[in-house]
Amino acid sequence: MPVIGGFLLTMLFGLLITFLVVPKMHPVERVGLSYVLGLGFLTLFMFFSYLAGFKFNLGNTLNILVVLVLVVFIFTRRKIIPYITDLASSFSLVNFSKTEKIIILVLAFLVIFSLISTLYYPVNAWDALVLYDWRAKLFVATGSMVEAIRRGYFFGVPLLTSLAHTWVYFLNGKQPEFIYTLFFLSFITMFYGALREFTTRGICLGVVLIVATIPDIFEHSTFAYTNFPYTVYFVMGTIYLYIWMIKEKKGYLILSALMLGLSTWTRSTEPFWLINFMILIIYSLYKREIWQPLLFAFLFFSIRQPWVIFENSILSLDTTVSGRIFEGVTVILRQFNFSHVFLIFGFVYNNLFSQQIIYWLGLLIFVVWERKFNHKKKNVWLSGMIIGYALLVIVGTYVFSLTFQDWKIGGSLARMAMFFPPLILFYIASSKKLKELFKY
Amino acid sequence: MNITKRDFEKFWQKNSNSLIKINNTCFPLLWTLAFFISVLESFTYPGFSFKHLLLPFQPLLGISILSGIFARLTQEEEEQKRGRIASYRTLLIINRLAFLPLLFSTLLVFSLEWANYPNYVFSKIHLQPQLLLWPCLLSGFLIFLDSEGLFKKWFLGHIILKQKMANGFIKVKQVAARVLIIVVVVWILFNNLFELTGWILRRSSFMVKHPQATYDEKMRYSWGDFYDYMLFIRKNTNENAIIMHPPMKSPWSDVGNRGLIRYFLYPRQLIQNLTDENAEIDKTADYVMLAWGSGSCLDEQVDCHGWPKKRLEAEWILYKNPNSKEVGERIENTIYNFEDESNQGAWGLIKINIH
Repeated sequence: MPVIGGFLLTMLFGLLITFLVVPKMHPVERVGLSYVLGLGFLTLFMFFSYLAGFKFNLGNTLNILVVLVLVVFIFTRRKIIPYITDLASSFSLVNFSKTEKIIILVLAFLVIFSLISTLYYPVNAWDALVLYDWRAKLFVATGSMVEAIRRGYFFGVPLLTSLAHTWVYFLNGKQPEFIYTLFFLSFITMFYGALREFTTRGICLGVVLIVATIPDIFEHSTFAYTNFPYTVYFVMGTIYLYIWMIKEKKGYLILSALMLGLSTWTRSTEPFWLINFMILIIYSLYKREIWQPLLFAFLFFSIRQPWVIFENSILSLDTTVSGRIFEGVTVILRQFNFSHVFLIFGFVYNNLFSQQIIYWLGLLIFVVWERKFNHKKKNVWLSGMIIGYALLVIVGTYVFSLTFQDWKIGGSLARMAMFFPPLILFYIASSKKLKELFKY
Repeated sequence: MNITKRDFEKFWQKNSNSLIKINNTCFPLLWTLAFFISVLESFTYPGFSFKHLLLPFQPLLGISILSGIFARLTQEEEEQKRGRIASYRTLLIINRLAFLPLLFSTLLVFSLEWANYPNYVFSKIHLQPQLLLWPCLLSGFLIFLDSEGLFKKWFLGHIILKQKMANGFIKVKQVAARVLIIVVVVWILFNNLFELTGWILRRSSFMVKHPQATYDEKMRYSWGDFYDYMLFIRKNTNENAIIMHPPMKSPWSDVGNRGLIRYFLYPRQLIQNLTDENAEIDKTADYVMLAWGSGSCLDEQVDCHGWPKKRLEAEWILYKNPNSKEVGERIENTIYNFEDESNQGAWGLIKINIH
């Protein structure tokens, strides 16, 4: 019971943030968003309070959460009751066709199976034992990071999932993996809501079903790795940036900055956010509104930098953005080798593109289709970002291969690139031509 | 050469009859070929037919399905013109008879796998259960084509031909695009579900058979003997012990990984020489793990198993029972010698004599 209460409070916090940031949104999507924002910001504030001198314990965490809820509640209190009414009405399946109801049943089965599985099995995945859950156990046991840092292998991955596990242990929970099932449920609701902005309910449900059954995504909803939460934050951050560009909807730029910021609070090594930032700068120059990247950067770096600075101060390493870029460029310029480039292409193709070939073919077909028929060419922003990420994967693997001897870790590459299929599917499904094709 | 819409229409008017005829003849052959390859790969491995017969299963499956839908769309008109298409009809009849036995056999195979252990069916009859879903899909596809309700009312009526132009006609290109997209979507979904089915079976089998399992039982299911060994070490050392463990290399990839074993042995202190299995034992250690290792050695010509590779004066040595966390034998005040017969294949713990 304490776990349920604690997580409901966390979601309430997230829900109130969503009212603050985005005034209008699909009510089901808002539920999903409330979980990921609530958990992301709670863990971030746990970290801030630790830096401010407070220990990790139940009392401090609850105090932080209650204070945060009360502060945001003051600004958003009038929106709660209308929202509840709105949400209740959106759960009716009266107008749904049989096919749509079957899809919802399959989705419900997947969520329930994932939940049973995470409530049954304890944390047992290799990396979770080595790092994510290990840190949580030590935070609970000692109330601080000192002992965990002293024991070595502490840095490399930020604390979102570790502090989320800590929160479960504080609430007397024994098996924290259910948080990944909730990430899964949130992801499909957010994805559905965001896609609903562009297309019909039938297409949305069909695409959500494909996303939910992608083996990497579904399997990762049942164990404690950081790749799936990262994918959730990153994919939705990118989609919200795209919605803001296309629909110019109020608040979506802020939401995107928060989600992408939280993606770097989950995993900091992948620099894919750089592409979003570059595309945003190009977009703003095109629109001649410089304040947009500045606002985005302020919010994004407010979330990303505290951990980076903390890590640097302890390890005395340069893990800053400029440091990483400089290091990468230096490596490429010093050791450029054409035959090695082909080796990298082969590796990336075998471990990534060949596994996702159907999605990439779909992207290619729809990019051509959109360019031919959609004269406004608005979708170019999203396709540009996806192609940018793909190029970054190739360049990043190249740099990684020159700096690490054991660079051929295909599984790791596949996990890192888990976000491609949902983004490509979103791009395809949001196409106007597809909507017209299946318009009834 | 530019082909205009009019050229295409002319071509279609001239050749449509022969194209339909070719498709109606080819579809039963394509389907049968795809079906046999799917059965063959169930008993071998995915990609077997491409490697040995140069016949890739997945494209063949896609072509069969598209050809089947096209054959079904044109079948009634064709049969009115030329009479019954014998090969197509025969295929449908045989499939009607075979579908249920095939479905129940597949379910039986899944039940066997589920009721025993992961890979049970493969170890007994060299059959991969999840690959059997492909022949089931092919058979189910023919049932779908054969069914008035599913194919005509639902697929054609609700999905493909729902939107008509004002004059009551439909656009052929639009219908073709819809069919193609739906076939691709269904193919992706089946691919995903096939991969997930095996995984769901493995994951749920233990849950259903052991609903009341304890934490240790669940961890043992996930980690096997390694977990027993960790419990053994934890039980036989005090919390402030300093334990030396093997280097992080084959064949000690698990017990040599300090990041991993600290999860089970905290708050004990762990020390190791990261790379050299022949390094001296650290003098600060109270205990030394006795670890034979699992898996193969980096250099397969040399047997690298067994650690520590030293002679040590021991206050006692505990040998772990195989497949258990319990102590099998305890020898007091002895000299541990790596080359002794008793240490071959052994797992245990050495308490170093500090005097």
